Amino acid sequence: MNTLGSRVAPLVPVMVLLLLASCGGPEAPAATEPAPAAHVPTSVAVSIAQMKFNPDTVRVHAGDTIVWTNNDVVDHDATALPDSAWTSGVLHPGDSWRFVAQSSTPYFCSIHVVMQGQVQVEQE
Amino acid sequence: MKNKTTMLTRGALLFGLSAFLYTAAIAQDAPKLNDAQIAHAAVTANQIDVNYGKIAMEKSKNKDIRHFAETMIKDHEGVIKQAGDLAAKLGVKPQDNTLSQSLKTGEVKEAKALRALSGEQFDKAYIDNEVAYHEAVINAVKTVLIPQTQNAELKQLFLTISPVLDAHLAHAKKVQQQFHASK
Repeated sequence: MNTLGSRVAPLVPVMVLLLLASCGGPEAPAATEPAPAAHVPTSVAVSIAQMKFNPDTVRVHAGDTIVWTNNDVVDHDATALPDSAWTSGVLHPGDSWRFVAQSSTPYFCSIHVVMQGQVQVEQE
Repeated sequence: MKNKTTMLTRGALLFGLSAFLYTAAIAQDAPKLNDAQIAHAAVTANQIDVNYGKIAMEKSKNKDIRHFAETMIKDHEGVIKQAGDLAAKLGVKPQDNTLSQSLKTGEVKEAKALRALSGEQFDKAYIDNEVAYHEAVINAVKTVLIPQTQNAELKQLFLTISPVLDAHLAHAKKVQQQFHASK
């Protein structure tokens, strides 16, 4: 004759395992922490107007795209300092130029050398 | 010789500026300039700096001077085109006036003095004149042309080009400083 004990006994190991799993413990595998969300490359605008880069310091992450747009009345460019590692070339009024930033660098308008800006690439 | 040519340049420069500022001062009182006269003075002032720039491109071998002169030619030609387009749009025919004539009188004397110079003397005289000329023009734009302009679009054009003139002055001073510091 089956007693209640004899029916439950086979389930005890399973219950213990479930209990351990639910409580965790030194032997239980650690719950996996969610990985930090990967930065999704984005696009940041810099307006060139009234003989200034606006904003003059553009903060981005590596891989982000910076878009300079000449909203001024004269030609401009955006050129890396100090060695012209990158340059937009001449941007006529209304022109835009896209650049994927990888590192921080100061830059200027090589036409109007008093106009300066900064690309600041933030660390992850 | 050096002192003589420098004095000639400075004399011509001061004459032009004095005439300019005197006329500007008069213009602040009666008679006022109308928009057609203001448009003419604006085009004249820009054309004069284009002309100075062309002299520099002919005579100078200094890379900073040539770069500055090239920028002046391009920027001021651009402003002249915009002023011309706006005048055409508004149906305004630029009208010669005492301010324009004063500017041209100063240019004739200054250009003659500049053409008599060469090498380092020319470079110094050219950039010194650019500093003084932009200071004078900025003063006239802010104290005479903008306040007296009636048409909103023409006034806005002056407001828009004011930062360009300010940047030109800063650029000229930078070249001037480097130029004099290196000697």
